[in-house]
Amino acid sequence: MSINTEATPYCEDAIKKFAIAAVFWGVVGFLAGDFIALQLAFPVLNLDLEWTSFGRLRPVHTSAVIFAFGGNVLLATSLYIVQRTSRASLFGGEGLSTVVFWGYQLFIVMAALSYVLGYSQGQEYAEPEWAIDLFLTVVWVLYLIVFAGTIMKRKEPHIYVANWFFFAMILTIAMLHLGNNLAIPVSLTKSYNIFGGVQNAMTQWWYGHNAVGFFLTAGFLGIMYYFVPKRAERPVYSYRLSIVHFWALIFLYIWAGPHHLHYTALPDWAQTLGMTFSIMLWMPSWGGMINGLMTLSGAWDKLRTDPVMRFLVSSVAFYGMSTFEGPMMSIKAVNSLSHYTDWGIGHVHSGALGWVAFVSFGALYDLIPKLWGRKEVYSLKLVGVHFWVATIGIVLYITAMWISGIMQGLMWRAYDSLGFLQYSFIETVEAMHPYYVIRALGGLLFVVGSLVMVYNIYKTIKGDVADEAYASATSGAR
Amino acid sequence: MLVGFVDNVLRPFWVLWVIMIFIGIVFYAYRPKNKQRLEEYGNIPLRDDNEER
Repeated sequence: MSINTEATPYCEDAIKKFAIAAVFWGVVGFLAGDFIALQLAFPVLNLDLEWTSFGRLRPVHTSAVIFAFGGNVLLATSLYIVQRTSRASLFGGEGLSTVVFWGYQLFIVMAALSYVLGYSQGQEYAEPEWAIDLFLTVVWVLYLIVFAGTIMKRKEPHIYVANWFFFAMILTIAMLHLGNNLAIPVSLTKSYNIFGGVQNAMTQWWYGHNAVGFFLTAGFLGIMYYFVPKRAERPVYSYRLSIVHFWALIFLYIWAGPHHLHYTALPDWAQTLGMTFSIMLWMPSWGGMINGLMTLSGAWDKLRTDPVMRFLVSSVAFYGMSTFEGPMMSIKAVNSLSHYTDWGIGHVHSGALGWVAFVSFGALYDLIPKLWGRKEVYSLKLVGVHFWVATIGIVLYITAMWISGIMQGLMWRAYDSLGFLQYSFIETVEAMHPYYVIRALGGLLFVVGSLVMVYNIYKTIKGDVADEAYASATSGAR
Repeated sequence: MLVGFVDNVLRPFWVLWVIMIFIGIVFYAYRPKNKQRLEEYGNIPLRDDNEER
């Protein structure tokens, strides 16, 4: 990378590590996911071993994709973006950010090992026991110090909107992590949450839904607000809309958690509150989607010529789709059909694969060549291959889960003429089997796509160029 | 005194205060006077010291 004399010396050692870790954990997490999908279709794959049973591997999958893949993507991109939009090098330099890197990887390894060995505090997406939670708190505070310190020493007077989203993510995740993990330890590996019953459930879903809202949405919107304009080579469609988008999201998301507890012991008013705020979330979600998509107005040809742009734009389209579906499913009448069925899993994956993973792939394909001083990725054609293989995988996944989930919900509520339930539980399981196989096939395609990415990124870092003519014709010097 | 104010005024009407703050933000963002300045911030990612032009 050529550097002019007044340029800020960016700290990029740790960012390179985070980017590679993101790719590595991504493949691990996708593989774990596909394996447990196959376990659901073919239970023999539980292998009759406690360590490889679905109950233990499922949190390995969710934590690997959310916190290991998603987390490393967020750490890489946030530290990359904050330096460039602040025109300042990282606070604490290479040293502190490297400490955050190794601390975060150690957390991931400890969490995964503890799940496989059977330790869990039973809070969904927050399974690690208290000692691991405390360790993560220290690492996260160091991350906050690096990020906030860099913003404080910025040379750019204004704090760019992407950094607002990252900042909200860091602060809110800290609050959620501390709130949901309040527990009384009885030994090094066992603790009891201080809340019981419905209070515990409500705290869990206050945490769980805001992990979606602030980790998987706000953080990745920060990525969108930097990489979509950057790749399109034009400013975001409306900066003013981005300000309103940010604050609307912040004000609304935190109240949506109770929609996970419809028709439970949670008081009715709290359920209705959760539903109401979820429906209101339609507005900022679609405002943000429009802002991302309209950034391309006048540059729509890039969708055809630049597969990296295709990842970014498709991710925003998936964001719009899953944030339409989510509020709809939070409506009590719809929820009475969809809740506890595979429809929920399909919804999560249209968001997680279509939005979170695709925007991450787009960002990684853009930043990895830059971090290693390459003009472009090894092969844009392979980016296109990755895109289509993964997209077909997602489509198979979510359509299978829609059909399976709605069928499951309808079978559960079917009565015969005498008022008895028409189907036994096992009959619903049998009916879902073909869709479980289709889902596992979709997941396999997603894994294959990610392996294409691994090869492409390996060659990029090595410095190879596969199709130079194609690359320079479509993207130019960047 | 302060506790009474918080309990009797701030807490019961919290939704109102939050909505007022939000409307204030929307007003600030879409005030014609601020348009040029705010939209100019959109160019920040495109100005990178360390990149070839």
